[in-house]
Amino acid sequence: MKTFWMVLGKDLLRKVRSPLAPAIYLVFPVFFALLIGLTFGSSGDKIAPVKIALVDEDGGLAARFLKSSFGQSEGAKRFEVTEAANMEEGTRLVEDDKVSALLRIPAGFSDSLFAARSTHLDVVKNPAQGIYPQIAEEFVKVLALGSGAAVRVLGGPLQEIRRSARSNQQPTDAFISNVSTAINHRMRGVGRYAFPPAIRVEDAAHKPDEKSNDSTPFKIALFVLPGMAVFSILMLALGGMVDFQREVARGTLARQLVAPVPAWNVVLGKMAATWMVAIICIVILAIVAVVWAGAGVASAPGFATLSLTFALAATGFAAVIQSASRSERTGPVVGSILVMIMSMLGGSWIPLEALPKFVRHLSPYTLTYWAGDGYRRLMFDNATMAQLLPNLGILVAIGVVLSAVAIVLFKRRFEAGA
Amino acid sequence: MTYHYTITQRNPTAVFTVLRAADLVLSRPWTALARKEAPTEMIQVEALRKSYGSTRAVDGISFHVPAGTIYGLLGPNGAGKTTTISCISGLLKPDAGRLSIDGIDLGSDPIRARRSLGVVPQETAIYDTLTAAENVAYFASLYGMAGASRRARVAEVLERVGLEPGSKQQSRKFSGGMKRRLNLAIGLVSRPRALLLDEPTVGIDPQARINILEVVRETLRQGTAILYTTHYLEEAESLCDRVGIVDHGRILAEGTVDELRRSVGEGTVVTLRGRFDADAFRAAIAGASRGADAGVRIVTLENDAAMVAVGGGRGAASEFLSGIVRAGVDIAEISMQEPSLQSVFIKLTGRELRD
Repeated sequence: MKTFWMVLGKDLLRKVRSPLAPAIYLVFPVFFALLIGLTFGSSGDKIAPVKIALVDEDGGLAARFLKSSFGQSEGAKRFEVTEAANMEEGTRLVEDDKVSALLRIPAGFSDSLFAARSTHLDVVKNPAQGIYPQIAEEFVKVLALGSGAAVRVLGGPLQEIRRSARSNQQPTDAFISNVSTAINHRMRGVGRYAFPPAIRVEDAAHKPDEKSNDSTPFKIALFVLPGMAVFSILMLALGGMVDFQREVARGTLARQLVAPVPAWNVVLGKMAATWMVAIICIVILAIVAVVWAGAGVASAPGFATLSLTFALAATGFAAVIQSASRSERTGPVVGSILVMIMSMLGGSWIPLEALPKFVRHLSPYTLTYWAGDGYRRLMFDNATMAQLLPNLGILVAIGVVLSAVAIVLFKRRFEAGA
Repeated sequence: MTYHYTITQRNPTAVFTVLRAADLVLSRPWTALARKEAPTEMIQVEALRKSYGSTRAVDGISFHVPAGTIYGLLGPNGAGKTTTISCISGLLKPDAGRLSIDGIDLGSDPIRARRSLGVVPQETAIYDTLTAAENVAYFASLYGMAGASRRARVAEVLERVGLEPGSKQQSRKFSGGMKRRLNLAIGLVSRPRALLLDEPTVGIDPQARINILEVVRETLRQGTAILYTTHYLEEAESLCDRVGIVDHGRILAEGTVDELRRSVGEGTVVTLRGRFDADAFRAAIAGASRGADAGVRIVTLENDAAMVAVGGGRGAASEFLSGIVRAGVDIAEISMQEPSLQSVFIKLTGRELRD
């Protein structure tokens, strides 16, 4: 074991003296996560509003309600409405590419709606544009759905309001009281279904922190960071174990092997150096995540154990690749391709939920999945050490098996004089 | 080695006689004493065979290197020298044969056998980002050295190769010669009883070469058995006690440098360049050799070059040359030299060492 410590000490000293490669692998995940955060986490205000033309052939209460929807809160931010006198003018606006969509509210729309008869809204999408017409169509669909639901629930009181509006008379206190009471009764009836809603949608991005307007990019970066870090640590381990090939090429490995020490001690020492560098880099990335984006984990022992086991698995993986490679170039190329495939399948780059179903079936066969899943659960689900046991067990198994295979392959290579 | 004597007035002659006798003993080279005390054969190679697939790299090589001697292994690239050294150092497992270091069988007890072995590979096998002292200390630690004794030994070895001033400098800043010397220092740090030196002076400046050869001689004086491969035949001639000429995995000839020279012939080796018809050339040589006292022998003969060993002195060689010029041999260039390892090598392999 003395040899093991000597090899470890020597390799760590060499890595300290040449810190460029580990530094690159440290900077990469932080830089990439930040880039993704800034790309997808920037304020939506900067997106240009969707321009739509509107032709109101109805002029009724429901039509006014729809038109006003485009001018209120979120609608006002997202849409810029131009009212056209008729369909010809509206169509011309579409043809001239002035608007992304044309919305037509047909005559009799309000009457049909309040009479609970089937009616429709026409949306003419601008074929020359990409996503904006789609957004307009989706928004109109939401409005149609909401209007239909409102009329079905509050049909009677709304009819009363409509009649009152048509008569052009000032509503009496008794009228307002009756309508309010009717609305109250209707809402109470649907209350158990509608309040509180069975599914509540909360959009954190629409409630920016007053003190820090750019917290969203950091949050997205933090979400992306574990996967990127897992990818980067695997690449770092590959780079660390390439040192084997360098030592073969420079003759220093042969020089150690002619010394009166067991060969496996030399192999193990070099693997341990890679393992330790991987752990040091994980710790540095964790510190960056805490200081930079306020990350936290519920279980510090869980984080420590996960990091130790992941570093072991990464080292074993890199050692197997290098032990099976015959040159300084083959290992990194083959290893990088495998790491990229694992990162893609294991959700390091793209959230697992966004992957096709058949790909998700393959994810658990990658070590990136177990490592990335473990870190995400620690950071976002407050997972405990006990909850991480499957991840830890699988990573340890991968690490031990791959390391053993690597030692056997290296031993065979040494005996063959390679 | 110089000794100073003080001769007393009482019986100066007797004292002088005693001291003279002591001088005879003490002034003998230390190597001679070492040879008597150390095991006779430090490196033993018997019927070594090693193949790579269908290619037989080493085909039954045998030799031995006693303590305090240098054995030179000469051969062109691909002759099997490096494979032989790799087998002796334990990096390659031989297909057949027996290897022992300091009397310990390498196959049955490799770790113990390697304790007596130092290796200086052809490439400068050092860590660029470590200092000279760190490099030597690391390899010393692999041989079980530690603490103050290791520090002292590291300093001693670095001083011996002339690297002590730069011992705290990272070796990537070293010149080629300094790297070679560091390479040698690492091989010596464990005080090996058997040392494998694989082309230790390749590609370095003359000063560094002189330094390395001095260190090799000093190591030899301490009783170390050295197996030395080199492309520089003059190095082999000046350093080696015995030389083995290797080609195609076999030892073609072995002996002391003088023995090998004699195998070419006493006298002068004449190298001719021109255009030669083999039969006409042989006839011309036969005619010309009638005048030479100790005979003439063709060492090599090709279309454009020939080497001929001429017995006797320079006069005989001149007489021989006059004879073949008279016989009408088309000669463009003539050179004469005493028999050397180069001529031995050409005689045995049909080509120069660097071909």
